[in-house]
Amino acid sequence: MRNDCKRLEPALHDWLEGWLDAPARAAVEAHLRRCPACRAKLEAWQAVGRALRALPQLPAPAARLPEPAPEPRGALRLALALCLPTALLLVAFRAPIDAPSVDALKPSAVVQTLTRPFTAPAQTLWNRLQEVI
Amino acid sequence: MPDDATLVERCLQGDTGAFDALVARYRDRVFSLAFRMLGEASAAEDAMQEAFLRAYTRLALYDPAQPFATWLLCLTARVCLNARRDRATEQRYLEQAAKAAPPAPTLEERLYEREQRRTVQRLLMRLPEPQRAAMLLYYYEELSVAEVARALNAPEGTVKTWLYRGRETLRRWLEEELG
Ligand SMILES: [Zn+2]
Repeated sequence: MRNDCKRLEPALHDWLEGWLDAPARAAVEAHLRRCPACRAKLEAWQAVGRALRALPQLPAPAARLPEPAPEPRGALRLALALCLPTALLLVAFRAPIDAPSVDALKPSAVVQTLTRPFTAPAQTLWNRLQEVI
Repeated sequence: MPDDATLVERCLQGDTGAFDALVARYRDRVFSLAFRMLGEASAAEDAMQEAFLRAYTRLALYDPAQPFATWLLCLTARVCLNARRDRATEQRYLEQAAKAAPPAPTLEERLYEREQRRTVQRLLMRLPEPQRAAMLLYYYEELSVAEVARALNAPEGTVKTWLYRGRETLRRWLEEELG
């Protein structure tokens, strides 16, 4: 019986999920009727499924990066909500000549960009932009 | 509250405020899936941002025949799988940063750690990655086998095998742990 059970195990799982056609289903059911070990395994698998479904949903943390002072709108606001373009703005203010590389879009790169100190001219530009907008 | 299809339609017509509403609606669900797959709040947060950014930039490719939630969650799963591949390289940077200034965990992180200590989550993290991804999409998010197969770019038969092996392994570990 043990060997039978081992061989049948994948089919037993397919049976539980309803993936079998009629003949295969009948074969599994015939085995189940005379095998308490496989019936116990089914119950244990159902418990695993329930445990996974019962994992609680977690609240997403609030945005990690600060939003700039001016009230952004539309796509800009969305982008800010996702934090990435904040970094792009800062990159643009700091070094208008450098187009942001693909790396600049990576969250880790964003954090690095934000934690790096402003260069003096960029700081001035940032201050001026804040005055204007 | 407009339904997902309406919000997507508005967004495609240029009303980006509509996307804000989709983000608000799904951020907890996307974050939770990412956390279940990556096992760590900060990595899950990065993955959430990346997933929404991709969803926004690829919205025109979304097929309305499929529920928006399914599309978004599949996209999130793919982002998480890629994130783990990039991780080995990032690990070194993070280790260096940690040596320089070990950051105190925030209250939020401590709460997630407590959550993470829960047996099922801890054992999930021990499963091989494709099995874990398949298990979470199928049982936790209740996607169909066909949808999981598309999300993970694998044949349906392979997904069924991952689900069987993952479930049997979890059963064995849980019975060992819980006596
Ligand atoms: Zn048996």
